Amino acid sequence: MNNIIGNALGLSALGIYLHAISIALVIAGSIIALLFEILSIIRKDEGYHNLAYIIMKFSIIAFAFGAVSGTIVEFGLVQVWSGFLMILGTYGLFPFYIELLAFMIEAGLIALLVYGWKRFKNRWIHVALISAIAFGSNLSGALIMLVNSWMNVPWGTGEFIRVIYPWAPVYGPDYTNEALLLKIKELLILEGRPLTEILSGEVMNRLVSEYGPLLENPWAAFESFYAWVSVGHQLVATIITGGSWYALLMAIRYLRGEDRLLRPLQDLLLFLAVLMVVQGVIGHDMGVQVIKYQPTKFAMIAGLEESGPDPIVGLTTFGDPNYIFPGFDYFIEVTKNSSSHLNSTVDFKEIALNDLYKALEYLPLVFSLYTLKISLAVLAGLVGLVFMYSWLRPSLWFRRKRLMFYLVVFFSAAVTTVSSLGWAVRELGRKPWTIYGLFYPEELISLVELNPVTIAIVIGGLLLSLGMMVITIYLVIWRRSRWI
Amino acid sequence: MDIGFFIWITAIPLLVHLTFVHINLGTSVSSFIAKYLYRDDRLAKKLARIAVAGEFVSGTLGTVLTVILAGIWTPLMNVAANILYIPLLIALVGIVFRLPSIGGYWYTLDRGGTINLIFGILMIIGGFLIPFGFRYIFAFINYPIGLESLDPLRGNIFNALMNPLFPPLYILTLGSVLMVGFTVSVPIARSEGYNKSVDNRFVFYGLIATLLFVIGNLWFIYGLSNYSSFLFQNLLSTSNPASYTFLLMWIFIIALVGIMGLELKGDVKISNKIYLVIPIMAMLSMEFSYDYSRFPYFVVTGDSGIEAISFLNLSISAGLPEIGGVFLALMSMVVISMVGVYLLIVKRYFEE
Repeated sequence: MNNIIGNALGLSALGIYLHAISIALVIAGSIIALLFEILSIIRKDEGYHNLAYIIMKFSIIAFAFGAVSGTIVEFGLVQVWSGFLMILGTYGLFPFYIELLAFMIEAGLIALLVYGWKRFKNRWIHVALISAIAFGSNLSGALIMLVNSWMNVPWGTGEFIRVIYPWAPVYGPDYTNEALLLKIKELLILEGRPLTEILSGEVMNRLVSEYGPLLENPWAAFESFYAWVSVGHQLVATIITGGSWYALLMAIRYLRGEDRLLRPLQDLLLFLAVLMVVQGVIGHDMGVQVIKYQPTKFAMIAGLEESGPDPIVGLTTFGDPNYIFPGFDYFIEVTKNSSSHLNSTVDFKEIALNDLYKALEYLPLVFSLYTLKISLAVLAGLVGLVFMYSWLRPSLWFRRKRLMFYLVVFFSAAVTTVSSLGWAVRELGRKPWTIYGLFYPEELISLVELNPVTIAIVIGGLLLSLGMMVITIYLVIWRRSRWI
Repeated sequence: MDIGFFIWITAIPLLVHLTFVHINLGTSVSSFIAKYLYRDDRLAKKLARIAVAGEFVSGTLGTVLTVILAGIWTPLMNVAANILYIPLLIALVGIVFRLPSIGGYWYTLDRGGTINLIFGILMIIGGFLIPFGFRYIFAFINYPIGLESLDPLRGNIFNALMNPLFPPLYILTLGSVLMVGFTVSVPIARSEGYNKSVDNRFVFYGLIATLLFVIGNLWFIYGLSNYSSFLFQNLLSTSNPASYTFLLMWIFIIALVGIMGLELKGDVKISNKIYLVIPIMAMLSMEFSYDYSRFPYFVVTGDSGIEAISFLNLSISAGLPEIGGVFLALMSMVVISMVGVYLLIVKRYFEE
């Protein structure tokens, strides 16, 4: 069973990473095209306008192939983790439902803009359309992140998790039918059944008619402050990462002799460097939210097997470098000393202790990944400062083309690695649960065991769509003799 | 709980989705034929343009449907995800091949050559694999073979493949897709002075496809009489609205066969609008009849069935105004997209 869960988790992670490539190109693409189009008006430079068109072409190709990889990931979610359908039908329903609107705005306008690029003469129409596309693509990403954030911090479950895990905070207002949720948990634990087994039958219908609906407020996921900070953090990371890929492509062409690309490239690098500073601020807020709502995750990333200070975080968060953060020793102690208020036949105290020991196993890995992530982010930030300085002295790179190219390569590789590590920390940091404090992976898995055919189809499909995207971009955009 | 509301917000996007699926699948076949059988590159390009635009609308609506099914008909989706695991995987393979290859076919159409040929073949195979997977869901809800128990959910994913209603339903689908695709291609082939003989060929292919559609329908109805008698009786009962649309479907089919026969014989020249409207109406009345006659059940089990309410997501107390509001906004976007496609293809608004 562990092997099957491990394979399923690995497959989902790979799917999300591969899908993220096209997402980053689309989300960053619309923002960068907007930047260039506005600069084309301000500087009255046709080159920026042409470059904005090139970037939007990238976006539409990436969007088309992103739709393929997104479908694969979506099917993977439903078929491999069919128990997740209960979340999709409750806390995730409205975010996903409204995401459709964002998706349609994005899809319709991208096609309209690319086909109608020459038709619309007024540049401000271009700016308005690209802004709407940027809004659609960012909103789409934001709403999906909202659901992922709910999986990290199940907002609207009130005190339910705290009753089982005494170290946990209160997760917002009590919108959840606790009696029903407890019954479902008991069924899963006592009978060792996955959620999918009871989702479609009489048991669920009887429970709902006896206890009422599971969720009273379908907007619960929208009310979480943690979620909105996550959205900001993730979107900025996506724009920086995708933007660095565009910068890399421009740097390659600049190195090959397209000198007119230097100025827009420097503008782009300045923009990304400023975003790095913004990300530092949002990242701090993200950390504060993690301390507040995911105590075990913070203990993992700070390496706190035992409670103790983390001078930098203590100083920046509480103004006290000696502030003592709770570690796993504290969580275990509190759990051992707690008395359960639940009227249940299940021994939740033992479960809560076991979960802590399981979470503790992830500490070395999460701590290492997080440390590496922060170190690389600092290095990328330093390179960002060089980009800021060079923007003020444009002539700096005239005789240092290759140096500039290497710096862009390093910056791009660093921010891509930082984003990938950040996502890994986010996902691993909430283990052993898939829904923090509520459901384990084995409770959400499908009845059909994950088999090599499914794995081959999902991975093959993702690689095929990625490969086709690269080939199409190469044929349609890269082979042009000059971009501007 | 107004079950009718939820049924309609599923049915409307489904019918629009199916219309565009028929158009894009069918015209992609026509485009391939125009390119490789008749060497008419301009016609192939124009038909491919319709296929790509149709794919865009149907793909977007497909995503809408997935969310509606997963979020509103959660228990049904849960059954499908587990019991129809293999057909859904087949549909996924189809999507994986179809979407990139239709783009590749379009971009390499001017260049032609082996790459375009491969893209074209993959586009068609991928395209027909998608309904091969999804039609199992329709066959399953008419005759849920493979499902052993709902509580706890148990089933045999291999038995689900043996559904006797699937082969006629798939033949029926092939027939309707090709019927719509070929007949929609007739006005396109006629316009702008393309090869004059090609439009008649598409009329002929359309006639063959319509006959396939008839055979599929007859076989499917025979299958329903054996395995899904509730549905079969509703189709023939005058008290059920589905029986009227079922009758209408046959009228459309007879009219279409007659029209195409006369045109091939050279007696009359049929208006383009007729070729655009009648096949799509025949297809829509077919889909409506076979789906509506299932109610009040969602899954038919011979003479009886499992009511739709059993598959509705009751875990959330979301209000109808909230769900309806978002749905209206979504459908408005669909209409805007369709207008965009019309401007793009018919009016060529974006071409200078």
